[in-house]
Amino acid sequence: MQRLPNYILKLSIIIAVILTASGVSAKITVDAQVDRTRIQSGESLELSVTIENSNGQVDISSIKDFKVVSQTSHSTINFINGQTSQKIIYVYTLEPLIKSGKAIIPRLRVKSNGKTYQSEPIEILVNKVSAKTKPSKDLDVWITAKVSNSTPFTGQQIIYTFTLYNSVQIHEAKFSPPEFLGFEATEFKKTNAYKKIIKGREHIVTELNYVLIPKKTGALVIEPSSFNFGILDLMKNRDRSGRSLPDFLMDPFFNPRKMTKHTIRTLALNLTVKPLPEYTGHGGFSGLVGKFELKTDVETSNLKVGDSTTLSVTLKGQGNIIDAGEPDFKLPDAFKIYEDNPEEKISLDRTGYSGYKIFRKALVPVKQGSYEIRPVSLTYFDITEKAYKKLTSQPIILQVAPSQTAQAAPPRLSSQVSASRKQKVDFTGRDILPPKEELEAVQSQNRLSLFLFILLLASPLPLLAGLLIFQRLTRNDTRPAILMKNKARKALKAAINTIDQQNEMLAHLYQAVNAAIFSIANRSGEALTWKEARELLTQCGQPPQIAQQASDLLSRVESAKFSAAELSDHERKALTEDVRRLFKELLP
Amino acid sequence: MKSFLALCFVSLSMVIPAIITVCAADTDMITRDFISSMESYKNGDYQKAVDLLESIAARGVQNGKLYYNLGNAHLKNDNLGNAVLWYERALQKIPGDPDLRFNYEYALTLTKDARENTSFSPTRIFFFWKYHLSRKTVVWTAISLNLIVWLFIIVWRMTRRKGFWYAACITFLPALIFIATAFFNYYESTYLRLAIILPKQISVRSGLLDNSTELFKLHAGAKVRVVRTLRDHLQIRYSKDKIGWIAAKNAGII
Repeated sequence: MQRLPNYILKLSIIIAVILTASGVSAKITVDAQVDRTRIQSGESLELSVTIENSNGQVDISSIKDFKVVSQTSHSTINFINGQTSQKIIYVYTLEPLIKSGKAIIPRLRVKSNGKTYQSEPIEILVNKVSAKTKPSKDLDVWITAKVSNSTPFTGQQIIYTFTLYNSVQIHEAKFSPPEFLGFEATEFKKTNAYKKIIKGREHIVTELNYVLIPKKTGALVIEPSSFNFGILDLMKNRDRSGRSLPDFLMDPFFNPRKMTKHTIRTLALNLTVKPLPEYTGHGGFSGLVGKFELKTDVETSNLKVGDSTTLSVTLKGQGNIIDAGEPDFKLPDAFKIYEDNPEEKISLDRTGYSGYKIFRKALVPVKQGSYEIRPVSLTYFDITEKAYKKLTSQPIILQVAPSQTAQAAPPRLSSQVSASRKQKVDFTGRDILPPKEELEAVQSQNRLSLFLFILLLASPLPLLAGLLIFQRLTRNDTRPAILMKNKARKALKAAINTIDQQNEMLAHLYQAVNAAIFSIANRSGEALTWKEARELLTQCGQPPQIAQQASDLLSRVESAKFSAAELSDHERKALTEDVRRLFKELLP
Repeated sequence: MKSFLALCFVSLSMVIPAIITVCAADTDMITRDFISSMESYKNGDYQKAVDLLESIAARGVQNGKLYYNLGNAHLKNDNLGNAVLWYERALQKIPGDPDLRFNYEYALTLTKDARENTSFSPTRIFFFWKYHLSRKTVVWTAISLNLIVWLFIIVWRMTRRKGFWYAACITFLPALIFIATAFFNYYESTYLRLAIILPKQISVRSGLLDNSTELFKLHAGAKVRVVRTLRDHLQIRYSKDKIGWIAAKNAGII
């Protein structure tokens, strides 16, 4: 029975409410019915609750003796003789919770418009399934379940096989596996289907397999698997008089068929899981149960220091190999060891887990010599011999010759494809570099104190300050005495430089003597007469002979300047020398 | 007055040679100890080498190579914590020394606690010179650049030639960077104290008492920042989320 879309149900309810409200049909009834009142434990039944002229919900919380497996609903509206009625039918699939006896479907309550309506209680008789009952091969559909070993050891993998036999077409098949409590269960996804003739009838046989690994010891029960399916009823192709009906009437369009739903179960399976015997051997037990082989291999046994080779340990077999860890390697100290990722290929089929794991290590010798790689051993529980078995590989001898380059090569792992020939240089030994023995080591390198650091940073500042002060002092002195003094000196210097050119020399000398006298008088000016010069110097406190000497010299320079007479070199030098001497007197 | 000056002159003439003599004698003793320590090191007597070298350091000799040798001697003497401590101290003096770098990196491989990766921190990238130059080098570079800047300015003031002014401006930026770095180094050495865990394993606790809750464990060679000191205990920070108290004797300040 298919669930109606919600919107159709809601629409029906709305219509029903409208009709109910309009008073067309007002009687509300609740009726509960089951498809059968006798069932066997493990079977299911259908409960239909019909509510007429109401949109109430059924309260199924009062059902205690059954488990509600599924629930559907649909509604109908009828117009009969001007009367309108509306029904909502809720259909529940129930499974009894008791093994045998009477199970009660209590009164089911429906609330509508503030009133509560109830159905009548129903008694269901549950019969116990006989353990000896076996599926009859006379049936059209039956199922079986079996395990490959009902007395396995803990950790030993066994196969649970569910088999479906059907000689008729089935619909809406649903397989519900047991919970496999106490086992680690993995479904083998690929189903096995084939045809088989049983008692002259062709059956389709479908097998589902689970790999089970017991995790507990003792008596374990695998609960029954259940299988739900539907079978379309056989059509009656004859009429009441026994005549055959025309073919077109056999078409489902003219002759719709009803599907009957069935639920069948397998028998519960009882297993006795045996504990592994006490392990008394040397070395640890790997935890592996099954049948395994161990093999070690080395890429090359003749090496040079720094070369690399790969040691492989292959564990192969059937059983819980998925739990296999890396065996214990005992390798010589003369090798540097680099781990590689293990390679594994484990497959699951109808016989369980099988495959291999390869553990690899890259070995790089750091010393020459002959070294033995001790045998690798692994202990597992052999299920065929029902005893612990120790696998031991063969020892491997590695011959290591001195390196030509004395450089250790990095490991070259076999699973890696080297894209470049360049190799990373690794340390082959570690130590620190020697001490520094030079006596320089005891010469103290005391750090400059913060105060001294700031002092040194500031040291250029006084120099700059002095310069600025000096410049300020010299640049800003505009007193006439200074200005005229500088002018007098510049003029004398120019006169000396132009001694060969009489006119220019005399002009400079004249300017120099005048400027020197004005400097003494602290005045600015250009020209003086010899009388003015003498008076000026006398007024400024100069001795009379100096004043007289200056006025005489000014007179001589002035005469020479304004006369046309050519002075000899000697006379020019003498005149210049006299002015210099005057300067020493006047401008010390 | 004259007699007082004469007395001073006589006193100084006696004291100064005595001081010079004492200093020279001490220097000779340091040299002898150093040579002995190197011989002990070669002979495998690492403990004696450690004692002698530490006595030299205790006499005020601050030298990167001496610290390096101390790190070596401690490492050979199976004292990882002290080895890392002296290597760290040496790194402040001679950060560019390749032998020191090699041995320091080797010592770090022996430590157990994972260090925060600071190799590519923004600070190390943007202030790379701080981590590649010794503090002494930074100080003297700062002084030299500062002097050059001021000389350019003085010459410019005297000659009024713009070239000197431009030269002063160009030199000013590196001078400023090195001066700032030197000042930061002074600040760092005074206030931002780092320490190395010395014992093989210590418990960092929530308080100063021995029965305070153990927060985490640190092992020899772990580098921590000293947050504060209180009653012979240090509050240390190992990483952003790991802070606690240890006895001061269990850590060596770098």
